[in-house]
Amino acid sequence: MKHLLQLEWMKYRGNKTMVIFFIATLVLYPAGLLLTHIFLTSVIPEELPVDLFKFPEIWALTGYVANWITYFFIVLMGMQMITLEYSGKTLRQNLITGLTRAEFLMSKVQFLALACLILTIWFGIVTLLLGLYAGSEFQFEIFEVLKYLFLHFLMVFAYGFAGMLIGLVFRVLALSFILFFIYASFIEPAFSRLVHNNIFGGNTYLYYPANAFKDLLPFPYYSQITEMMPPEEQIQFTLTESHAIVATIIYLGLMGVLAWKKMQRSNF
Amino acid sequence: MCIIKTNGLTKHYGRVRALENLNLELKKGEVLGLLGPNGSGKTTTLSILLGIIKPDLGSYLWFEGKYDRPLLKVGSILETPNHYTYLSGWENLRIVAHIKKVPETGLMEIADQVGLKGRIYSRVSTYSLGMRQRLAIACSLIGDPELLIFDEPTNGLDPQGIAEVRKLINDIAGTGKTIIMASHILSEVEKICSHTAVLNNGRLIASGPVAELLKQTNSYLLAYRDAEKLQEVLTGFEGYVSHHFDGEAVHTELEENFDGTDLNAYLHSRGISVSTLAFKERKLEDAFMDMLAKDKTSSSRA
Repeated sequence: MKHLLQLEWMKYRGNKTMVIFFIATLVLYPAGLLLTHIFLTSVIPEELPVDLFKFPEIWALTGYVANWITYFFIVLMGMQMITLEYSGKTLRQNLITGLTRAEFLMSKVQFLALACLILTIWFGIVTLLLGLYAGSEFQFEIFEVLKYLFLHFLMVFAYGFAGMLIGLVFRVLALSFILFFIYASFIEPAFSRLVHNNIFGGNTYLYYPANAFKDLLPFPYYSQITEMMPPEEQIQFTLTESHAIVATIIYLGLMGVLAWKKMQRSNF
Repeated sequence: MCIIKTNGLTKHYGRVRALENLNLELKKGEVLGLLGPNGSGKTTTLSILLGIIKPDLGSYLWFEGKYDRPLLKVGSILETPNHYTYLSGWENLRIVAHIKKVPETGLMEIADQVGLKGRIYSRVSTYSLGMRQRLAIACSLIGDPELLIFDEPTNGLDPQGIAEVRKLINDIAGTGKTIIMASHILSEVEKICSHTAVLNNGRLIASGPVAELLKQTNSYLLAYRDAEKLQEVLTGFEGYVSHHFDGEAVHTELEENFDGTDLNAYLHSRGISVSTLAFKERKLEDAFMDMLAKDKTSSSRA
């Protein structure tokens, strides 16, 4: 494991795009959260139903902000990890040098997991600091903290893996990102809500992959919004936490199998 | 020891035959020149052996099955050199050493051997094509491989780059390493290789020691103002074996018991007075062209 991580580190530490994506994500976490804090406290302070920055509520808020930031940057990072190797034909060179196809894929997965772990630790630190600075009370419940750290890790890893898989299939960064963006922002929401929902009804339309990843750390106040609606109009906006976790893990497994088969069968 | 043995390797791209039933064997210490015109299947063969293309049929065995990871014992350049151009030459060497799981000691000697020591810490994006090719050769030498594979190593280089790379490969071949070199620059192969395998349209049409291919044949060079007529008449000569036209002159091979005088008399009797008729020293290029011509004739007959 260490051997493959070292190899990836050697490749990426001099790659400006990768470094920019990662540092941008790190910087955007506190920046995004501080902007959220400024916006919520100075622009709409009277409308706030609760203290959003007190523990444990702050975890849901920072998780949601992280969700938006990683939606772009981690996906791009995952894609760049693969498309960089295609564009320079270095994947092919790695294989003829003696790296196996399985090792190549595992090196990417391990490096992505490590990047997600670092981001998750950073997410934890930033949330704790913001809570200390802006929250009305400080609470540190280890299980609550671990739950949000786990949800965050799963979310960024799923986004990154999706980026990797798309990069593996389409091989070009710009094309891969445009296709991902169109799928996640337009095709999936439109299809799931307009087609799937009309045919099957219920809340099964929420189980599509991009939505399942997003619902790991969703907008935290849907429950309050729902409570304000008349009972006959109340709908389920998001998957429950456990369903989002199970759906994401299943999708990760499927993406893993697809990536494996693609690596094993492709000519390079 | 057998370095590589292929058994019926076959690869098609749709309806295009890239490789057909290739059976090849390379022994330790041989320097094999893989010859053939563009699209004959040289790169496809090497790509299959190096595991980046899957064959449709057939199999191959590296080092008689001695190693679990045989490619760690092979150093290769396939077509153009592929490096991490945003990294330095040194970092690229380190990556290869890491993949091959060999220590980094000795990397600087290799950089020195290929003449890159002075620029090894510069980014590869600032290298000329010749320098990139030399870096690729350096990468292939890491880990003291038992086999080196060079696919068109002088492709795209300027004359100075060609001379540099040629000298480098010559030096490596002189150390007794087993090498496979795919090229269509026949003078290069003739100087370096001990054996050749000739591919045409994905089929192996000849293989064996270079000395055997260069064995003197009864060949002549002919020039006449109407080359088409000359070729037509030539095929009717009693001692005719084969011929090809290089755009300027006709090269022909005759049976052993016929010579230039017989040929000249025959042509004269058919109203052709050639401007040139000369006995030809056989070079690899001639042997290669003859093989292609014979293959074309036998294919059209079939």
